[in-house]
Amino acid sequence: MKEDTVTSITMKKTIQNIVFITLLGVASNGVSQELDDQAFSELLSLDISDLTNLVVSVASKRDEKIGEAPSVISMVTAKEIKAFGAKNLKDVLARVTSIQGFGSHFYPHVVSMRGQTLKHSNNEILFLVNGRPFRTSWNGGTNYPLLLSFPVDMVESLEIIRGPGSVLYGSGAFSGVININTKKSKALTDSQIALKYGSFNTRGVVAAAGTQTAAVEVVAGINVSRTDGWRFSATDEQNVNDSVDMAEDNTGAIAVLNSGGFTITTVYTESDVDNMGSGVRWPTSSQQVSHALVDLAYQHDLSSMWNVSYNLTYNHFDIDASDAGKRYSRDLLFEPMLQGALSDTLDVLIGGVYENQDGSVAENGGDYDSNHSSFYSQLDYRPWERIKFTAGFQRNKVKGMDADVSPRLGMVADLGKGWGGKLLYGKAFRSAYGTEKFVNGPRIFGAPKLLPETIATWDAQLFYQTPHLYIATTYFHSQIEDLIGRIPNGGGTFTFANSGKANFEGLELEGCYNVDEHWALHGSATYQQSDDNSNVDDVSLSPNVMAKLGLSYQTNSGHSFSAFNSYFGEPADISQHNPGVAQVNPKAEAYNLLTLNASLNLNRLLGKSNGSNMSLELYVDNALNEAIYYPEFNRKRINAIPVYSGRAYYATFKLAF
Amino acid sequence: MKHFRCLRQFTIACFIFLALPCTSVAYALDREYLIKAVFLYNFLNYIKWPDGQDISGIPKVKLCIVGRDPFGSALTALKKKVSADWDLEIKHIAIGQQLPEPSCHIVFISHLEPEHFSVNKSLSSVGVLTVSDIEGFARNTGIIELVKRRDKIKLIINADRLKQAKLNASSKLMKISEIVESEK
Repeated sequence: MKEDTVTSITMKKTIQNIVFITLLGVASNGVSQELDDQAFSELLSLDISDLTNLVVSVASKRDEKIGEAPSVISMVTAKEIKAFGAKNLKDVLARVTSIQGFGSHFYPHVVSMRGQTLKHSNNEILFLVNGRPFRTSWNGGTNYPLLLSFPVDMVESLEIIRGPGSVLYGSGAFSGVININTKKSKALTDSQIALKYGSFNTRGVVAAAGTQTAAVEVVAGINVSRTDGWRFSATDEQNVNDSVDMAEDNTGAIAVLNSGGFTITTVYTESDVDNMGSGVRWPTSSQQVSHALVDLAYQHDLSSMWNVSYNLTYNHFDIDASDAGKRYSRDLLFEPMLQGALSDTLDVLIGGVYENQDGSVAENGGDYDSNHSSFYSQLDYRPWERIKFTAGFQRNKVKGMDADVSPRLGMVADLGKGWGGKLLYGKAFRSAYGTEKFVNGPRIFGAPKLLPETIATWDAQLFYQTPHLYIATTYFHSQIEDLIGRIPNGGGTFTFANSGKANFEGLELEGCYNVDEHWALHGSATYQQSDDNSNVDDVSLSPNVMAKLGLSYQTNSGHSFSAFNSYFGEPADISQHNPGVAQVNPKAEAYNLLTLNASLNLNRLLGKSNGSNMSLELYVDNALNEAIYYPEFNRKRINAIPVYSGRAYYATFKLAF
Repeated sequence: MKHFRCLRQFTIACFIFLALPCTSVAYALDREYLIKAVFLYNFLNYIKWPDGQDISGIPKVKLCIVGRDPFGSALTALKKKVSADWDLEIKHIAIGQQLPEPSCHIVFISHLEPEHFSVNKSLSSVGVLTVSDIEGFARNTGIIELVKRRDKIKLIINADRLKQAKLNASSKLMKISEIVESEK
């Protein structure tokens, strides 16, 4: 059979699978439509003059409705997180449209978006906490302390923007942006404490509290968890087979203080995990990473139509790996921003960033201290009630390099009767980080003159929204240039270089359906493909197909039950990139990751009508006990490594008082 | 890329697939209509009905939604929330159907029905507060218009029609609203 014929059959099967899923009424973690009783009570308690000042919608730098925002956005609410359960933020994100969670030999917890798994350092998705960049100049990624330790109970919502976001968020908003919105004191009227225990001797404690006076609002939460870890067994590059328990120590905390126009946000995340080391060679190495953010913000309303804000944001990052020593980065940025309306139909946003980046990529040498500046602006023009045009740009300047401009254009149309459409174009950049420019062996060498890698993405989205149903389909095409990658030098060493182009194209279907007050259905399906400038297909090795479906049921007694299955297709084989790859481990194949969650209202079960609220959550991870492997896509010398535990059980007792 | 032509064809098919069931399902935008529902609740507290009667003196409050209901579950939730204070009846009136007797206290017409309410058609009736988010509603047709400006809901009140309907708005409500006159 000819290769094209095989390809065609495979493609047909893929399409049949997606159509089948679509016809089942699938869609994804989209906009939650279900009425939130607590939020409604809060609205009813507002004075009518407060109501007229209430922002109608959420999401993005300027508060906008998801259907109106010039981006492709999914939102995950606290209610959905509670319904489907999660060990950590990574579990929550892995259920979102076009996101996959996995790991590498050195960074055991990574998430990628739209198949753009280009670096195991995971620096092509920008994380924000309450809109502020949680980013390190050291390598831009290493986000696993955030993924593992951030207190999920403090999350009010997650906004996941797929596609470039550099115009508003700067470097690193490349494949997408994930914004963690934390709870306000109104959502934390009761102090909460939770105790966890589960498989692999996993234990943890989470505490959250909030309070508000006339002058000050404070919320805080902390998560401490430890696990002896699941058994990681693999053969390394030297054909040595060994195993290790993937132990983790995670600590995460957040505190937000609001007073007048001032807000202070502090985030601390720390994770100590085992891994196979930077060389994919036994014995195992361990790595302790801590990342803290402190943001001081001041917002002032100049008039009813104009406001100005100032942010001083400090990111403090340390990494201590047993096989690579201690490294760090200290990044301080100042960002003033002005937004308002020039007329009823024209909104404007203008801002600038000045950032100092200071760090070290090696214990002996490799220090850097550089300044970056950028200026950005965006105009939203609504000539008619149902159509909005957006145009924006960001101009970036790194000392010693030419300035770079990233534009953004968009049209958002309300087509009536619940239908809407978006046509978007955006460009983003990712400046080379400290490790890529200044690392100096022994296996990897930096290049100080690396150009930023850029991505240009077209999105076309059609969506339909009613009070109970949201469904959207999005076509995307991304072209990456000046891709920063590793060029082999021979002898097992590499040098970072701008190594060419890559194209990604795909289709996403997503939605949610709140059947009634008890049942809710969430789902998504993604098909993506990629190639590079030498016409090698599936350049990122990510699976072409992802399909996710979750069903939740909530009883009148406050119990809830849910199941969520995420299907990831077979990733590409490394042999197309490295024909000499050693097939030493089980092949990375397609898998289903099924999680089950039950939340029981203990007050009801015990017949207790007053006092503290108690609940018990039971969570089954990888319920099908799949053996999950992922290609070793970083060095590409061995075929695959295990990236997920087998079936595991967790119980959490929660007390609110 | 081998598959990209197939993918583009598939994309077009999916867009067509989604476009097929484009029927007249009620349209609502969650939080926006949640806020608008709370405004309706507030009008009951800030407006006095004929003869100076405030809401506490009315045994059953009738809220009528004309045509398609854009509120989703918000009005049902509102009814549940206020049930301890007063009896709120929510009536859905089809286009062309007569308003019930005794009449509604508040009539809401969503922007989904603009073609049924031409700008010259006055809805004013004694004791009936007409509310809508149809553009130009207060100036041309009814009493209170809910208008979205800079992502916030603002109020426009036609003081002439308010007076004609023998309704009396509190000074606070008038102060936070834009006051307009009827188009001559």
